[in-house]
Amino acid sequence: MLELRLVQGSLLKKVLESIKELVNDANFDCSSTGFSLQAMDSSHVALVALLLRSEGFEHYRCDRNTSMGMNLNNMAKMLKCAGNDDIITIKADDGSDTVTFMFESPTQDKISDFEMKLMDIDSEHLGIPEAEYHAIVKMPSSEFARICKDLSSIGDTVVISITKEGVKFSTKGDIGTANIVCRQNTSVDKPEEATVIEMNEPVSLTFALRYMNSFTKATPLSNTVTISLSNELPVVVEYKIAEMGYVRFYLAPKIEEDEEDTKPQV
Amino acid sequence: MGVGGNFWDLLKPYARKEGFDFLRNKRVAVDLSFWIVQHENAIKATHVRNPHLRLTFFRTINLFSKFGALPVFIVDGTPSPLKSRARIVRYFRSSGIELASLPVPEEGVSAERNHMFSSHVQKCVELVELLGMPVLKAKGEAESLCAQLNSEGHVDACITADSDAFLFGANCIIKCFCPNFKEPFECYNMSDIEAGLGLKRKHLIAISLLVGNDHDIKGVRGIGLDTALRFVKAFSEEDILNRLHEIGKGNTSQIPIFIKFEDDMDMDGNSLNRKQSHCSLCGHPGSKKDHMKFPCEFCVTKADEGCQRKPEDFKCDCFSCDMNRKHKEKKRLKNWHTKICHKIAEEPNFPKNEIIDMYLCNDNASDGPHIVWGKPNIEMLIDFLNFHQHWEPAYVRRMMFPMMSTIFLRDMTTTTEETMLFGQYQFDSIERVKMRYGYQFFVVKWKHAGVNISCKVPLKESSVQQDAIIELDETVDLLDDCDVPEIHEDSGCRFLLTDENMDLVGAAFPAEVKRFWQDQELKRRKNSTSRSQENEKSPSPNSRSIQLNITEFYPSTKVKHRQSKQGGGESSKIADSQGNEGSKMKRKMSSPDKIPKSVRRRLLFD
Repeated sequence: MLELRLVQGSLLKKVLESIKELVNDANFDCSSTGFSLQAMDSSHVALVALLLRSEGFEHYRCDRNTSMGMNLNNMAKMLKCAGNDDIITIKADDGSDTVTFMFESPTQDKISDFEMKLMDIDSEHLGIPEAEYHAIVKMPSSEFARICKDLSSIGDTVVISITKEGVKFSTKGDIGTANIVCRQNTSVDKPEEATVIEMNEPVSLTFALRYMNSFTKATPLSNTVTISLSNELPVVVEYKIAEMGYVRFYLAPKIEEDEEDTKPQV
Repeated sequence: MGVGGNFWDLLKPYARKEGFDFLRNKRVAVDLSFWIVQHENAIKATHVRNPHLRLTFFRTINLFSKFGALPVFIVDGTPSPLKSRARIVRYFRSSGIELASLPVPEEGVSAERNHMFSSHVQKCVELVELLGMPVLKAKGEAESLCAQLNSEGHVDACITADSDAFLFGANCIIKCFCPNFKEPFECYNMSDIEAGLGLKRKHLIAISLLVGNDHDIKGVRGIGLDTALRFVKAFSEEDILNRLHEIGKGNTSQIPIFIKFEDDMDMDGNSLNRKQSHCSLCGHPGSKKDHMKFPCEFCVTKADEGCQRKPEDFKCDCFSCDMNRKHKEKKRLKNWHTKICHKIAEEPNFPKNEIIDMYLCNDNASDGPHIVWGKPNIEMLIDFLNFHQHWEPAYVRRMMFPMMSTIFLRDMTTTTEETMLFGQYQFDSIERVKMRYGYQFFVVKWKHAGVNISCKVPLKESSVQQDAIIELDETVDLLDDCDVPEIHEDSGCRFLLTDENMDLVGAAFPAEVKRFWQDQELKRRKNSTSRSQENEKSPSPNSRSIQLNITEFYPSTKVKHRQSKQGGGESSKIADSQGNEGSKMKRKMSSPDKIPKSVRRRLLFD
């Protein structure tokens, strides 16, 4: 039997809103350590990994490892019925083909019961190594979302370049070019508004802005976003989920076809 | 010429416009002298050597190959004495010579056509016989034999502008025959004329006798086409000629039966009429005195008032008045017929039995019908045309190629024997589909059997010389659309391209046609495929980089996630092992790098 009780139910609502645009169907894996998910988009360009550790739940009961296939759009519709302050409980019996979502209002005067059918999903599972990155940028998530939104109105790819001066986001399109530079600043009063750059060596990679914008749907989950880059490797865009886990987006880079035209001006 | 007056205008509403495919596989009788006269009138001003031979040659090839018809050529025989006299009268009229000085030929003697015309006809007969076409000679008029063949079912239509053909018994006449495809045929069917006008063959003969014809130009004095039409329609077909004979003898009591019948009825009506007297005030039956006192039953008025005064142009509706009017109408019609009969009776020697017998004769052929389409005699044809037209043998062969290819394809539908065109060319392939004047043709490729490289140069020179000769005759080509096969050289082989009827090619080489359409279908699919590929590329014109796949960077293990206990366990184990291996490899690779201690701590925490 599986029974998970999450007092801060809005976290689960936000998680679903952040990944449903990228992934249609996914398998949720439940084990004694936590509630996790790994899924790719339909074109296998991006990968999302979710972890909610068991310690973050008020009540976590998982008698055996189990996997539940769900359509994320349908799940999001279910979770929309929960209030932002509701307590969410997820229940499933062993071998059952349905999962039950129970929503309790904080004052316990309203209890809702939703049952959703599960799916059999064949999916690939990628082994993601714990990597050490050439450069890591930590910045306010709202800033990152704004940058991606602004650049996507100019072009469809973004070149992220990290040097000792800062991190530069560049794009080029029919109407012109755009460059946004964020310098490191650690002297702000609030820690979540700081931009911190740790660089071992300069990095310059090109990514599709469409996927970046999809990643920024997770902005409500966290005030800060961490961008980890290594040359010729996928970028990792990570949003922490309070004290209980994270959602990570991996995006494969683009290889320049004609380097002369697309080489950014340093 | 044919029937006098505007006879063709009378038939105009019943003309059918037929397309060029109308003649395909149809046997058609052609009045050869009509063609020759047409040729000479059309090209009188042009200096062309033997235009009658040239145009007969090309027209026959077009008729046979392009239209797919099977022509039977009909030659005039000896004209009747009546026609000879009529022609003399026509000549004298047009020349303005006094009729008084008209020479009177002896009875029964007919004058021959002029010598030059006869010579032209003879040469054309020789030409079309060399082309393999059947030629028949008529006893008298060519159109009489054309019509007889049509009536007896030996041919399907007659090509003639002479309306006499209907009088001779033709069923289908093609009046306007343009050599090119651009204008439709003007076609007349006897069945349409019978249905629309109510005229049958003998009716038409009667009309021609009254109005005038080739053999009696004047007809009956004072009777035109409209009068003749109205008069003739009143009689049945079986009766009309006998009635004319009776009228001609002076028997003016020949009145249509329906008029006579009703005339008897009118006698009683007339007697009834006398009994009735009509009021001069209101116009109804009765007397004026009575109507002054009491209103008559016809006037619907109050009892105390008298009859109303009749309006102007009043017509009484009582039974006796109606009968009286019908009686008058019949009387007027009877008088009209009597007048016509008198006019006919005044005509001396009317109707002429020779003309009627000529029209009704069913034995117009000099010999029995012997219609066989043979193969052209190419060698003698080359000699004939070289002598009369000064054409080169290569030119003649090239002009004959469409006819020979048509014969070849027709033979292929009946025999499986593989023969060669001219003993040199064989079917190679279907090149493409061609549209001409709205109709589709196959362009057929014919391959020369032998590879004669040395023959190339002489053939080209010969072709060039022939082109020079063609320039002299260029103006005449406008009359006939000559279809010259196209010469094609490809890797040492020589090909000729001709336009052929699709059904004919399909019957001769069905496998080739099937293969051709399959190839066309494949091409169409390729085009659609390439078009869709273009569509795929167009949405992202700015993309200059190649998007990589996430699976290229992380090892992949395809695991079926099921809710069973074992499946879950296995998947987690495999995932863990894969992760560990990746992690180990990564650590080994990155150990040489020296990272600050603080950075390493944060990375590990993350």
